[in-house]
Amino acid sequence: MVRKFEDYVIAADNARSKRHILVISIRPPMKLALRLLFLTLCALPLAQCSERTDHEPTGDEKGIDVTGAWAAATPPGASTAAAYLKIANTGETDDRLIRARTDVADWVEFHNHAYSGGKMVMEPIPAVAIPSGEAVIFEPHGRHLMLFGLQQPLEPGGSLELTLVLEEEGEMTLTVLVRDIRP
Amino acid sequence: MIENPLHRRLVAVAALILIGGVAFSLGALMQNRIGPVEIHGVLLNPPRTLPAFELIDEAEQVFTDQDFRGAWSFIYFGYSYCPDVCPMSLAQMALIRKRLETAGFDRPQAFYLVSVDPERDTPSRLREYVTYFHPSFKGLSGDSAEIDTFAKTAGIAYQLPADRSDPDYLVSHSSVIVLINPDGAIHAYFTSPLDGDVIAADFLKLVD
Repeated sequence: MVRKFEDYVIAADNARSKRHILVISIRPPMKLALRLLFLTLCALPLAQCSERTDHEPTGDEKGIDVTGAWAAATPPGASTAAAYLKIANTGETDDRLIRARTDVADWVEFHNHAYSGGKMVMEPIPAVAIPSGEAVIFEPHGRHLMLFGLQQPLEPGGSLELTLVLEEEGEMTLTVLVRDIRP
Repeated sequence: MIENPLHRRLVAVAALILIGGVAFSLGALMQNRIGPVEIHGVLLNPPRTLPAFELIDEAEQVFTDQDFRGAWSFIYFGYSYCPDVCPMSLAQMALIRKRLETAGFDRPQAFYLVSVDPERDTPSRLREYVTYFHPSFKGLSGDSAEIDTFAKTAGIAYQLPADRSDPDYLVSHSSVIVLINPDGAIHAYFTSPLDGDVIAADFLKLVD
């Protein structure tokens, strides 16, 4: 049977003007199919609950996962440098980054940038909380690891060893790649 | 005349959309011609004259307010000890220079770091630092009072710690790029976040 537009139209009570209202009339088998589909879609989020899929997989059950670690290559004569990374706590326990050290600088501090009173102010942070299920990002113009007493220039393509000390997880040593920030 | 009332309505709506679209486009075009130039920062109208001051450049030559005449100058107030904001901002200045070159802008231009930390930023220190970002970059340092004079007119705030016995002290400072025109007056500021691509595009609009 050829369906015409008029089959979908409910004529207005007022016989004089036919309102063109589009109504989709769903036939029973179609209704059942749609209901089943709807139920399946509802069930999907429940299936997701058992895995954490919103963080990068670490392959480590109680993971503190560090990714994207890099340091900016330094201009000649620099005695400070900055390093950046992302720390994700994919474990069950809250943790805190309490210290860091590196072979190429005398000491490392955590710093935050804040624009206050028209000035960019750098304030040292004693420790950084990384609650379970959350990630903390160190990035340019924001929170960063500041290396003081740089012993050698950081050359593009080179790397440095950085040891992070976490309250629960303990020490983690990683290789940080050095990147040239010039265009 | 269109017979089918539904078709008539559809055509009417289509016509309205078409007219609306054309009107909007014309409006947008006209805005570019008539309105003030929008930049990611502040355009000074009129440009602000500089007070007299005397600094030293990275070649240990005297540099005064008059020496800004003759070129478009991009100036960043910062210091070499700063590991994050300053190098990143100078890298953006290098990007501006590169974009202007690509765009074929060949009028005289210059790029400066003015140090807010003259005690540690001697001329030779500045030379090795600024030329890392581009060999043509210049650094200005000198007497604190002279830097203050320049900074104040340029609307730059900065704060050195009172006690600087710790050799690793940090300086807080405004992070903007100041634009001085060939008449030697402050033309505009580009404000944070400093993006070289964006600033180069804004600058080319200004000088167009």
